[in-house]
Amino acid sequence: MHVRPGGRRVVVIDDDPSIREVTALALSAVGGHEVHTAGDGAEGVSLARRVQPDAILLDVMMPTVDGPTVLARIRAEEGLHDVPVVFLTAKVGAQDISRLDGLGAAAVFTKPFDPLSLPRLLADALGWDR
Amino acid sequence: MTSGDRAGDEPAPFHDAFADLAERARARNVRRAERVLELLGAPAVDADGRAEAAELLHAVTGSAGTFGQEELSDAARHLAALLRDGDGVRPGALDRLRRAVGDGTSA
Repeated sequence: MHVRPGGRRVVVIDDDPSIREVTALALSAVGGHEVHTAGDGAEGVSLARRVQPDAILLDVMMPTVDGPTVLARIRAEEGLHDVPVVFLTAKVGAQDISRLDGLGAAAVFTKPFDPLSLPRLLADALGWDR
Repeated sequence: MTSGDRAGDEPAPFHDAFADLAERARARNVRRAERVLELLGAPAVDADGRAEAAELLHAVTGSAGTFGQEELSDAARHLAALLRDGDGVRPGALDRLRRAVGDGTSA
């Protein structure tokens, strides 16, 4: 995996393999980041614990452990509680977005999205100089 | 980055990998939508069938638009809203999804 200078370590948690793959591809090939992926919430928390990411991109609606529950677990973890989490969701109602905002995520991105724009969106949302 | 500077900034490794990935994703979305049509087109739809359809429609809404199947994404979003609001599945909404599936297979 080639990480550009200034590249960050990002964990992507999404149960949809296509979204997981395209997100990882965009963040690595376009954004120059080191990307690690998980297909469910429990695996995602373990992965984050292991790789200590600079940011976590988190799907909201997942079977078994959903995004808000994952966020709560991350916030309760020593060593992870300060990691910025960005929700990625196909729920686009104003009420949905407002509810997610209130959970303490750094940002809420909606699906569908333009994969090529994702690294820039993430950098802007998290104040990364890229 | 804006859509206007995509072509110039697009790294070749991204383009090649994305084309392959998008083809697989579109096929997956069509299969999901076909399963929804099967579930919701049945004479009687039980709670499990509705729940499975809702989950699939949610996935299609997010994924299809990301991979260039905008009409499939919109049709799935519309149908998902009908299911969520308890308005019942209208034949027109199913027809729209069916047409989008037809378009999606040739995308």
